[in-house]
Amino acid sequence: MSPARKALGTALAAVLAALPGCAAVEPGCQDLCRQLVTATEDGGCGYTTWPDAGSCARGCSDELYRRPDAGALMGCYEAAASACNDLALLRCRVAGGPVPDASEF
Amino acid sequence: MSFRPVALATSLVAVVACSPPDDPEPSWGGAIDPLEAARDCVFTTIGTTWQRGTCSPVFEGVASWESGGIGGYDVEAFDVLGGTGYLMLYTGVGGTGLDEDPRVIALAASMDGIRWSRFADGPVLEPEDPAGQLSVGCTATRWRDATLHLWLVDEGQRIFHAVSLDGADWVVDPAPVEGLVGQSGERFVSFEGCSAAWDEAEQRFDVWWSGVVRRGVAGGYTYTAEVVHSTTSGGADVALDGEDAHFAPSGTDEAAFDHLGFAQPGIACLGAECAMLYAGWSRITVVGSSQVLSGPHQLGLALSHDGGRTWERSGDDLSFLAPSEDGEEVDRPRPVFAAGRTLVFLQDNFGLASQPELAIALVASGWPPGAEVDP
Repeated sequence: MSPARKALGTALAAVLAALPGCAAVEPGCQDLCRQLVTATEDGGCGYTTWPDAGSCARGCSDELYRRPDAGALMGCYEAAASACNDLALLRCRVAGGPVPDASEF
Repeated sequence: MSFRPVALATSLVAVVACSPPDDPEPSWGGAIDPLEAARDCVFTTIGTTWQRGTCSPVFEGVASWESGGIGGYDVEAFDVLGGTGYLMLYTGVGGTGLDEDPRVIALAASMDGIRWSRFADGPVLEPEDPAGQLSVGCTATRWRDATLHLWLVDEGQRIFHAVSLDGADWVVDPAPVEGLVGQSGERFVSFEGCSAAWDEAEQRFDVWWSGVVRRGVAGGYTYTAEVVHSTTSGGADVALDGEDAHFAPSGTDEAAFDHLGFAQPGIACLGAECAMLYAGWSRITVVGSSQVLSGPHQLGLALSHDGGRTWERSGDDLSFLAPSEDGEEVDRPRPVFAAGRTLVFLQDNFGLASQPELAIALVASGWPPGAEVDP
């Protein structure tokens, strides 16, 4: 994604996030979070740290929109989620570094 | 590059979901209340403001390198996709858990604080001598470069700093940490744990060390366990924080459960407000030059309003939080924040006094520790 597109995406996400009850959700986040939250007996990871997949997807979008390396980070998360490997999930998070403030974009 | 609105709309944000205004939003950072996330565990209120899970211990020695139980450990909490995940570095005690049994450092992770997964490749740090000992002192995350930092101690009571990008591969500084002294100016007789945190504003670590020091009194000397505050940029270099660096039990009522020491500190801060949970000592015997026998280890709390430089002890004995029935030998409290709560991991003996089985339990309250949860 070009810097211009990314900058506009960040701005759009920020505007939408500021609207009451509205949030921009990255489609990749929806699939990722569905896998993370779906119960293990239904083939998912069954993680319970989010109330539901929507909450996870909003957190995912918020995190990824602020990342310069969003694609690589998403790939890391997807690989960890496909194996339901919580240690790998956390290692993605640590390796991704701090989540920059929106003001840094 | 020209700007194409249709392609942009497709590539940027595919779905915009607007929930109705009355849709309840998560109260803190999008994460669920960690006690609700712990669906496999029922939490009951003890005292007036604390909750303790019926699933204790949440982490116990089951792998081959931890047959003697879980020794020193520390827990880091991370915001993961708006939820909370936990990374634990812990000491796996070999043999049957005797003082002389080998110790290695291992890694585990959890997405709810209850169910933990061990690093599949086994321990991440082992002593060169298989009979040797490496134990976790404390950990912290330096966000500036996304590195994990560990202060560990060997069988000779030497403290080392190590750094890792992923928690599994560590580089240990060859030079040990030096210069830790008590309020009296005497060197630590023994190391009794630490707590560390990265200060983003100051771009440095705060590290609080506990150690036994000798202190002169009328007609001789006595031993106390003190907490010393220091700062470091990361590495073996530490700078003690001047005259205010020491949190010592001098002047504490001799009937108090902690009148001889504050050991194994676990510290969490929200801005300048910090809480320290510690193992309070009322009995210390030093055998030889550095073997310290202490007891009973009872859970205490101190608060700071200046970022952990000066402390005021609450005086309350929180040992009722221990899941074991004896209410003693509670050690290594580790407070972490998660979705508006303070979760406190703590070590307890789930075996017999003569045959200990040290493992980790979980209790919770609001902030600061012991407060009601802010709705």
